[in-house]
Amino acid sequence: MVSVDSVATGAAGAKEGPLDLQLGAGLTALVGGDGPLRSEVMDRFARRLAQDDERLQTLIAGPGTVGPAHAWRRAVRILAQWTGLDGVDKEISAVIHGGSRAGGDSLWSDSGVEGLRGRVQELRRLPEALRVKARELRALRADAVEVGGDLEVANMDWLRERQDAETHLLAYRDRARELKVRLHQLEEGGSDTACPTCDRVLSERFESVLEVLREEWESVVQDGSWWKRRKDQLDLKPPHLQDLEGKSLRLHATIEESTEEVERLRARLPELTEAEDTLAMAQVGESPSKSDEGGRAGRPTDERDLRRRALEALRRELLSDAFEALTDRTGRYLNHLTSGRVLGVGVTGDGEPTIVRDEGARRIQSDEEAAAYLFALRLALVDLAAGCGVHAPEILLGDTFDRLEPDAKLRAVGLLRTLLVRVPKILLFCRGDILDATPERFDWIVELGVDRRGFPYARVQRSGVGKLRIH
Amino acid sequence: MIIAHLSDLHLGYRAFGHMEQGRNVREADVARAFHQAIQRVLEIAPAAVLVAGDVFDRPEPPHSALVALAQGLQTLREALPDVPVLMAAGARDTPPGPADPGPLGAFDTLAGVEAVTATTRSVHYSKLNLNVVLVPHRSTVQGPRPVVVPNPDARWNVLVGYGSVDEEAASLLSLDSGDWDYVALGHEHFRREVLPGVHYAGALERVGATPWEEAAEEKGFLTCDLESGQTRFHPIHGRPVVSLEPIPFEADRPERLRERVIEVLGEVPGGIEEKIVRIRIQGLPPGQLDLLEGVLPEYRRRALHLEVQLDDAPPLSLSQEVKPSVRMASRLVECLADQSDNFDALLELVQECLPERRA
Repeated sequence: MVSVDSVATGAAGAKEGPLDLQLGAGLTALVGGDGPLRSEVMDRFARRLAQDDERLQTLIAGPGTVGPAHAWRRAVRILAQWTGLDGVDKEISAVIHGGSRAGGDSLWSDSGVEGLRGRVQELRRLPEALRVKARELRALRADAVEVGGDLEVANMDWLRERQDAETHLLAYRDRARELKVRLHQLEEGGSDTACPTCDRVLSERFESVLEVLREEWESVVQDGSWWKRRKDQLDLKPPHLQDLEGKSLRLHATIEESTEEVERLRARLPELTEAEDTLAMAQVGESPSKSDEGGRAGRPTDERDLRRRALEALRRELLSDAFEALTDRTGRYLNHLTSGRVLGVGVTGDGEPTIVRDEGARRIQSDEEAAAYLFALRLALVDLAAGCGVHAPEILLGDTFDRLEPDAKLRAVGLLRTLLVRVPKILLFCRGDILDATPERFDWIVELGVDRRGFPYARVQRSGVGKLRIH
Repeated sequence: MIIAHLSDLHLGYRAFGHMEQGRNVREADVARAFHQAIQRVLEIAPAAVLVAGDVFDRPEPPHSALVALAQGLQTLREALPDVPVLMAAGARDTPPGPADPGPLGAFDTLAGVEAVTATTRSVHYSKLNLNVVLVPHRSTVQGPRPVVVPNPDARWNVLVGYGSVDEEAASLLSLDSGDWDYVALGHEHFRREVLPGVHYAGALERVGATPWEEAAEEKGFLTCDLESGQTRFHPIHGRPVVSLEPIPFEADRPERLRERVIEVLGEVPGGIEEKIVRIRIQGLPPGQLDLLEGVLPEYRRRALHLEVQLDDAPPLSLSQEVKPSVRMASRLVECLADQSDNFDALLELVQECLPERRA
């Protein structure tokens, strides 16, 4: 388990401590650590800062391991949401549900996205369903822990009692066997037999000693029988223990079922994101004239119709603005990252991102191109989010950076430094080569690793350029 | 007594991926600039040569960079055997591991050479009556605070340091310039006088990730006559870097863009051949990038590196600015072509739904 205990980063020099995510402001390089450790840090980071907000999570920790097309669609949709799309959607919904005309959804039908919209509406119930199921699962697990505790206690009691009965039974059997041997010896030897205690001849005391031994033997046999019955009784688990066992088994079965359900719902969450992205892109590409056909064919009959059409147009414009702003800004960043070799970005008719070079636009071909595109898109979204008043206190950049070409890495670090005015803390997962190439541009270097006991640690070191005060 | 102050040599710097005889062209440029500087130093014959950091471009430089420095030092040793060379490591010469001496460590063993990476060092030359304190990068970033005091027994006290001068930030190194006859600084690629007697010499070549800011700056090194306190700049001619004036995109005459690009690139004095060139185009919408199709490849072949930078359009003046809500409402009017008489209602709708656009 990764600890998030604090590591002081204010003091100069290297410090080592449990893995820390509370770093100082500036640009931090996170080096070392294997894939799982990096993923763990990334997850923790995103969870801590974004909670359950998928949009903020995308801004802070990136879209995850998705291709350029997916990342592009999501970025357009999220940016449009930040510029007011959600508010417009609510208004549209209010107008539709407040409408009295039958078939009031005609505008949506006209726009050709009704099916998608319906699917999005349906999928939007997923997060709530997931929350409910997860809550149920947590309650079931709590019950299981309680029942498990009771079961353990009851089981221990039963075992202890059975062991106790068995011990007593064995002791009585031994004593009975011993007494029987003595009685047999006395009966065979008669009054000339030596006393088993003092070794003198019993003579006239023979009968009384024999009587005492017989009484003791009978008493031992009687008590031993009781322990025999007790042991036989305890060979079977007591009913309340059997009840608890049954309850525990049933709970575990329910938990298993519930866990599967939660996982099933969680696995479907990306469908929501994907459907929302697809819907957004469908609406960007939608021709305004199509949705306005109804309006032109027969003029709107009342204010509600006009309002709805205006809202629908506003929705399209917001998506279109987001699309254009992202195209423009991503293109600028990619142009800079590639030293001007890439002029800009675009999208094909089927929604596939393209890059524009001297010879024209073409689809993304190589891994380096995809990495540069994703990196530029990420910076563009962070930049534009700030313009919408959405400020991420920290962002974490991961897998794409190391796939950039060496010159692009240097330029990327330069761009990240310029972004510090918008985001005060930027954490970059990278290999050590960039630290060799430009160590002075990082404010902190955090070396991640796992110690010999298997615990993750972070070695925090001040980087950057020394400050000189000269007067 | 004259001292030479060099900094930011960045030996081993590589960029743009162009190779000549198996060597990166820019790496060869940087090595050439260093050897030019050495030749000039030989002519000046100073009493000491100071190098204020970033001797190499990275803590694990290519072998060719080590050879370039060794050759330079050997040339100095042969021609000026009594002239000491003092080097303080910069960020680029400093490996992350505190026990690693870095590439300068090997040169510290040579006679007449002082090259510090780990800690501050004070060196006294009694013959010259000169005391030099070398403060490397690591001393100014990590504790403990370096002990930096002039030597009262020396006639001349000089400090060689690496870092950025910042009066506000907490710093490990604080100096009174009056205590020193000369302070030689490294890290900034621009030559500048911070205070009287406190100088950045600047880099010998334009080696930044974006060299355009340095395009107009003459590169070279400084000498200082400690008697008079006068400094002199000695230029070194590196590969030309040309940053051209931006070309604004004219939306009403898009075809002009191609012509302007060809004109501007054709107007570079001496041509763009083998130069590092940047051309900037302002306000070209992503949808019209095809206007540049086929224009650039020829120029890219001719220049060592042609960077085509696409910038945002210059901001409109305040009088031309239209409120975002008004702009959006106008667009809605266009979308709902038959409802233009309802502009005010649409404006109200926009402001209601997108309150942030009211401003």
